[in-house]
Amino acid sequence: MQNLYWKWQFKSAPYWFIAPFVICFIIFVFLPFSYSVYLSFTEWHGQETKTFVGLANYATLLKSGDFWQSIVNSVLIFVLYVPIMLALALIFAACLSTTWMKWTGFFRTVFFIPNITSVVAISFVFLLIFNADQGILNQILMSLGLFDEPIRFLETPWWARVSVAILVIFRWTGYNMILLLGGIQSISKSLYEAAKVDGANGIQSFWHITLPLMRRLLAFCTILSTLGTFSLFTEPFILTGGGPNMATTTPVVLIYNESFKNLNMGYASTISIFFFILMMILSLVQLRLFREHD
Amino acid sequence: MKPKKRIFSTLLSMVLLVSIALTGCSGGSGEKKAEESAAGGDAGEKTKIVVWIWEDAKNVIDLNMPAFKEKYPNIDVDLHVLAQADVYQNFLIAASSADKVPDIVNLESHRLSQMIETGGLLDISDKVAPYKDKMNAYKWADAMKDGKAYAMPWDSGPVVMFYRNDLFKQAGLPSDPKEVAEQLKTWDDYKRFAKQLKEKTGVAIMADSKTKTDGTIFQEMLWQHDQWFFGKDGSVQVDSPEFIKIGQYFVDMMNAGYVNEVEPWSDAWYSSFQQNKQATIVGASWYDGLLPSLIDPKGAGKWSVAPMPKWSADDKYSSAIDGGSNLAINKNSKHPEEAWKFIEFMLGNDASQLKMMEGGLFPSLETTYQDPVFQEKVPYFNDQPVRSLYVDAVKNATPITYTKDYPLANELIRNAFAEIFLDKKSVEEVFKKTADQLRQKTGRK
Amino acid sequence: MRIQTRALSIVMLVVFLGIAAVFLFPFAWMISSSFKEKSEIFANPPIWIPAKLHFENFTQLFTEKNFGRVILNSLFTAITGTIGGLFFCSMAGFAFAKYNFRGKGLLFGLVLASLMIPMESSLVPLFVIYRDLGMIDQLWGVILPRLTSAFGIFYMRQYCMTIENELLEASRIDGCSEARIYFRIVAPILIPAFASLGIIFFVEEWNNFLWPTIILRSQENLTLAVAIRALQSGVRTPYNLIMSGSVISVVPMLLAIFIFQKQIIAGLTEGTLKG
Repeated sequence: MQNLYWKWQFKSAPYWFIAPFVICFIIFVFLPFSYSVYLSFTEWHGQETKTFVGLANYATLLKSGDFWQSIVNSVLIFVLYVPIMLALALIFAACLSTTWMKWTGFFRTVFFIPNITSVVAISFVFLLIFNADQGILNQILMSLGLFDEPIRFLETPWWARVSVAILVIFRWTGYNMILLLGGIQSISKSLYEAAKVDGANGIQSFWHITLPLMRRLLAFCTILSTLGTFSLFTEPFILTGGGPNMATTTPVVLIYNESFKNLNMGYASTISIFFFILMMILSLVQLRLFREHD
Repeated sequence: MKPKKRIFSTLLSMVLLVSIALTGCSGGSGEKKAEESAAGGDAGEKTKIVVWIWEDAKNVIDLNMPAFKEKYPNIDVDLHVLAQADVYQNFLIAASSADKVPDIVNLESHRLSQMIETGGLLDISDKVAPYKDKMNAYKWADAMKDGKAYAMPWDSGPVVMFYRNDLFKQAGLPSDPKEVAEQLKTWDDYKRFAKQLKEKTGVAIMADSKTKTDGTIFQEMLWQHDQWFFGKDGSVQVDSPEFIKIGQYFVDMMNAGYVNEVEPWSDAWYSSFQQNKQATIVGASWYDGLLPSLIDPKGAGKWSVAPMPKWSADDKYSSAIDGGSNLAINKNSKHPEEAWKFIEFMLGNDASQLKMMEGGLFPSLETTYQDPVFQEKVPYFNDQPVRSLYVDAVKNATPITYTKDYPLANELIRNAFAEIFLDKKSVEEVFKKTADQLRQKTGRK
Repeated sequence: MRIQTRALSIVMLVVFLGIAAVFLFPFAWMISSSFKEKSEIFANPPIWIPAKLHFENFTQLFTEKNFGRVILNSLFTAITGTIGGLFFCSMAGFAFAKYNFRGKGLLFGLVLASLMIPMESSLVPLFVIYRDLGMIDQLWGVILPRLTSAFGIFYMRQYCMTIENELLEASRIDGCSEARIYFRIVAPILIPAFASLGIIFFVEEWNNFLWPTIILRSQENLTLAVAIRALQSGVRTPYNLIMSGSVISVVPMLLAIFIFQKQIIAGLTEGTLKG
């Protein structure tokens, strides 16, 4: 009897250990997702009755520009910030891992701070800084004589996207820098010493040793940023509310607005399904890359 | 590295322990609070009703609270202040989750039918029946669905023109309200005034934004001219010739530089009034309360009021409406009777409505209009009896229903203006596109 | 050569100090603005040190906006979320790393699946489920969906792989039950992993915004991020209060990172690269 119990507890242990995950998975992932699929075929505005409308929402989504616009917006914001952010992160990482750089710990911390502080708080500060008529950024730019007219940062589509991009660069450069720093530090020192013997200077060895070895890590960072850009929410939500003229409406802002502002819950679910497919493809790419990297 | 990590993790676990202790306390106090309020409800002595309301509306309700407490000592009122947008959003959520809180919700007329549509409001047809003929007739259109009433009208927003008499004088324009009313009758006159103002003083006639307009001015022009996003048959009118003409007028004013470019209700907008950057606000009567308090506290004597400009001199109606709110009861409220007592006390009797007019909310309750206070001179407005102008305006306003699709239409038209200005597109082209979007999204014709 | 290096080092130091100033600028502006009067926020020329330090921007948050409670709420969600998340993720990670059982492949597939179904794609149904379970406006509701993050399970699984099987076998022979093994043997080994992952969980939960803003409603249940956003009410947005609220939410993090900078950064790097 004792023996039997012993066997049972050994056999069942992993299931008990995994049970909380399975329960949470069912309640918070599986059920909602299946329900989302169902809702995407209905017209529902939050009242008691839902009307089954078949593929009507899908037709609307394909016809209306909203969803595509949100994808285009994300891609544009992505193009605006990712190259700059990764270049900065790489330069910072390279400099902070040299022997001659001082105060590396301090700089690492400073660049990293924006990533762990509240997005809401930071977005509000940038809202003040970017204010077109009285924001401090325009005051600085104009007093330096760089511009005569204030830049309408949050009021014109391109500048609004640039503003969101700047905020994202501010928040995520340090994070990517840390990742790249890990990569650089894992490169064997002997490679650099050998290069030095061959007469290569710092920039040359960066170009010929560091960069090629970091390629995969950079790709990994890019994929992370892609996922991040499509699910960007708080930054545009607070800075621009998705405007002007939808220029900074990302897929998640669109889903949020359609579900909780316009109460088009059926249609919002349809957008969610498309968003899910997009994210799934990107995550698969990420997992792939990451497996190889590991 | 290793020992450091251990120190860190011990520190971390200490922090965690302390915080568990802390939050343990907080959780406990939370529960206690909940129990207390539940007990209060059961005792039956005192009832607490929760009202979701925005700040300036609460400020005028506060004027009546002492009287209310005296009459109903057993009703506790929790006036919960939220941003206007949050009131709607939170109530949509509350309604769809059958929440018992709030008991009462403050709703602007232009969002009312959308809210009724969700089924979250209590049918109060019987309760409001005695007030059917006493309120501005237009208010009921948005408060009803299928012959049932879901809200009690509070205030109306008849549109007039607030103008700076000193700036008008500087520009060599008439500054006396009577003269202004005579010489500034139509929007063409308004443009003529704008030109002279700009040339003589450099001051703009009004403030608005190209890309972040709130659409108010444009919609007031539509309203006065008996035009709306939707026709009487429910069809989308955004691409009709009249609609495009009015849109073009707004665009022309902007492009001519007669408008001070600033986002309405932004900080810059507030301060632009003290910097004398624009000379008029064509806006609803509730500016009466905002001007002396928030917009231009030092502007006493400088502001006067005239009727709003008309589209053409022979228009049937001479005025428009912007906003005005209502109080409604949550369908799932546990205290609908007490809630109604509150609403009736605040909105159904002359004395409280008149008191709230002091705070700048013009009553929808027509029985109040006989009161001598409407003829009273108002010091802030250069001793002009401005309230009588609001009465005239509300009586001559075009009867128009916002409909449930208004919030969407409003959003689309604001985007449309942004597109017109940013991409230098023609009004006709963009409005046609907007009309199609609106048809597609609302299923209207 | 040495002089050259030293010159370079000084030049780069100056350049980096400049860049650091740019990165710290928004925080400086936040702190400065949090002491200003409404009208000083957008003053031209900009005001760095207000004529009078308006400490009432802070006291007002506590007296009128219930921020004492709000801070406790944030602590509560962040701490319970972190501890719960660490507990459940480590158990699952341990099971995936050290046991062979029927359906392991399928269950691990579920973990992968949950990695690929972002919460954002089921906001509406989640909301409906919350409504039906009565979890709207509950702090627990903020924490629950984050308790078993796939990322955390991956991370813990990776870490558990390094535990030696002999150790576990030996304890079994000594008569330890599986639960006891987890608590007595595995958990202590995992302490560094708990620290690293715990930091990530804590930071995420503290700054969490989208889901709390959807379900939290009454003032006494808001978390900091949501409460700051909720200050955007009234006719004129009180940016000075928003800034003092922001300072309240940011400063503890700033202090923490300057004290524990090495550990935090190491934790986060390990976290992302391992997960």
